[in-house]
Amino acid sequence: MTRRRTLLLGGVAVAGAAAVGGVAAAGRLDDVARELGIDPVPRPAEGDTALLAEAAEDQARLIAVVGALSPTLTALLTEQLEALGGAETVRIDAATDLAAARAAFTEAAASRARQATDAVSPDLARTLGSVSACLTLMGTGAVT
Amino acid sequence: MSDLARVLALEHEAVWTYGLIGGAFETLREQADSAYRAHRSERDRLLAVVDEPVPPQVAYEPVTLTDEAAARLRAQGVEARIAAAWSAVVGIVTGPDRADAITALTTAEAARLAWGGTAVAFPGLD
Repeated sequence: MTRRRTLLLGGVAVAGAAAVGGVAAAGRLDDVARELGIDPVPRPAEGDTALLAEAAEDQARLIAVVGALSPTLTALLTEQLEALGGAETVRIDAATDLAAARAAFTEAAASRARQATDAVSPDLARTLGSVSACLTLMGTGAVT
Repeated sequence: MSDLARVLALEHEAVWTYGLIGGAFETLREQADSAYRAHRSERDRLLAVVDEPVPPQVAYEPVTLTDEAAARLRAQGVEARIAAAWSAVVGIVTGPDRADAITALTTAEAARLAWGGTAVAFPGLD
């Protein structure tokens, strides 16, 4: 968990200077600053910060959806939530069974994939892509 | 070696590995054969798109497997490394290519689980 959190903090802070084909304006400015001999202060890419918050909020919702249905799923979702910097603050009714929860996983997997695709930071993209893969497999029942 | 070439190198290894497993263990043959065909197809797809394709090795260590448990672990290991390689690709491509890389990462993780692997929160990163 610490490693992913570190990965994320570093990735979001340095706004995608290493990204291929999707270098943010912030990243370009940082490159220019380095060429001028100025060490730029890392700052979050605005869009990435929003994506991270959005993903964390949805992960918290998934934990609430699972409720007590599966300790394994809850543990995995909690690990993901912690890495994304979120907290379990969502209060909604749990799904009645795992089959009902799987639809929520599939939907969330698509959201994480979209967020990964939109992310500027390569590290954030990798983290969200990984979470998407896990959620996809929860949705199919491969992970229970 | 580029990240995509690294995936190709692992696909070569997967093709070799599933041939080994299928040939050695009757009970795993059907699953190994299915995996062999899937990875051969993926290898061929990558051979057509990677700029400087890497050739396969003659063999991949270890060249013998003591029992089914070892075979399953070997398969899990190959799939885990393929997932990790696709995760690296996710970080360097954008748009639809990134979405495709996430799909490939998911496929590798599904295969790892199918060979008896334990679920992890961060496929390709753990």
